[in-house]
This record gives sequence, structure tokens and C-alpha cells, in this order.
Amino acid sequence: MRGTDYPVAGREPDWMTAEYPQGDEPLIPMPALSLPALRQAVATVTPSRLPEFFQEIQDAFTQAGEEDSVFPIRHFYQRWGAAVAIERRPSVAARLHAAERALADPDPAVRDLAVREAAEIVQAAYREVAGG
Amino acid sequence: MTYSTGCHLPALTTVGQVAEELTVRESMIFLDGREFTGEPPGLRTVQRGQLMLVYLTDVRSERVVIIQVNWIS
Repeated sequence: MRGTDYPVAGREPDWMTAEYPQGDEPLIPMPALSLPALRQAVATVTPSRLPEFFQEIQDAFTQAGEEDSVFPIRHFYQRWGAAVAIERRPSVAARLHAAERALADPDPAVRDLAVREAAEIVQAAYREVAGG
Repeated sequence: MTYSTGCHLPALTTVGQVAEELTVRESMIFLDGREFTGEPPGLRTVQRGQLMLVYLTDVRSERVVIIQVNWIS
């Protein structure tokens, strides 16, 4: 298994039942789902993803124009709101990235656990974006 | 494939269609399947109209797992 912070298969860690562990204070408040607020938040919590952010907003507006629809733009805001919700808590982001890497593990039980871990983190992030 | 609960029928139908497409596409990209030893692709999204899916490809288990379904009504 890669990494040192990933749980051992079969031993369910206590964070799997919690939204977020105590003491994991976010770096910034949740931003509004607007382009300036999200851009500033991404620049603060995960600046290396700014090129991806700008490319995706360009793609979303292009797609919106082609389809005469606002859905691509609304999905863009949701997607990056969730990304910020994760990245503004470094320990949560680290757990998600560890889970993504764990999908390379030869042990299917480890991969199952990684999928569950990623799903819980992502679903919590989208709930946060939705205000839940 | 794992479906989110609470989806209504049009969403569920579209989820099924997109999931089928993803599965076929991934099987054509990751030809090694269970023998895959490369870097896993990580978290990805796909958007189709009102639907956006967040998914993981577990290449070695030859499966696509949808972990989040967003449907804008």
C-alpha cells in the first residue's frame, strides 16, 4: 500500500463516521458561488489548480453558448465550490488524495475502502455547497 | 456501479446512459484491466445537460464507481 496515512483495510477509522474531524479548522470561509469569490478561494487554498479553473470556466461558457443552456455554468460553480470545500481543509484534502492514490493498490479491499472514503468526502463537500 | 439515492426517473435514466458510456470508454482506455499498474486517474466529473456525475475509475477492479449525482431541475 502506498503512503503512510492511509488506513489498513478491515480496520475502519473513526473519521469514516464523522463529517469532519474536530480541530480541523478551515483555512478560509466557504466562498459565495460566484466567479470572483471562487477564483479568489481557489487561488488561496489550491493555487496550482488555477489553470484548470480558468480552462474549465472557459469550457463551461463555450458549452453554455453552444447548448443555449446555463447548466454547464451552474455545474461549474457546484464543482468548484465542492473543490474549495475540500481543499480549504488540508487534512480532508490529504485524505481524498490518499484515497485516489490507493486505487493503485493491488488489494481490492484497500481499493473498496478508498472508494468509500472518497465518496464520503465528496458527498460531504457537495452537501456543504448546497448549504446542508 | 453505485447510484445515489433520491434520484427521480429522468435523472436515473440519464445516469444509466452516461454510466454505460463511461464504462465502455474506460474499458477502451485502460486496456490492461486487472493487470493495470499505472497511476490511477483519480476523481473526475462528467456533465450532460442537467446531470453532473462525480466518479472514480477503479481500473484493477474493472469498474466505474459513481460517487455523486447532481441534477439541476
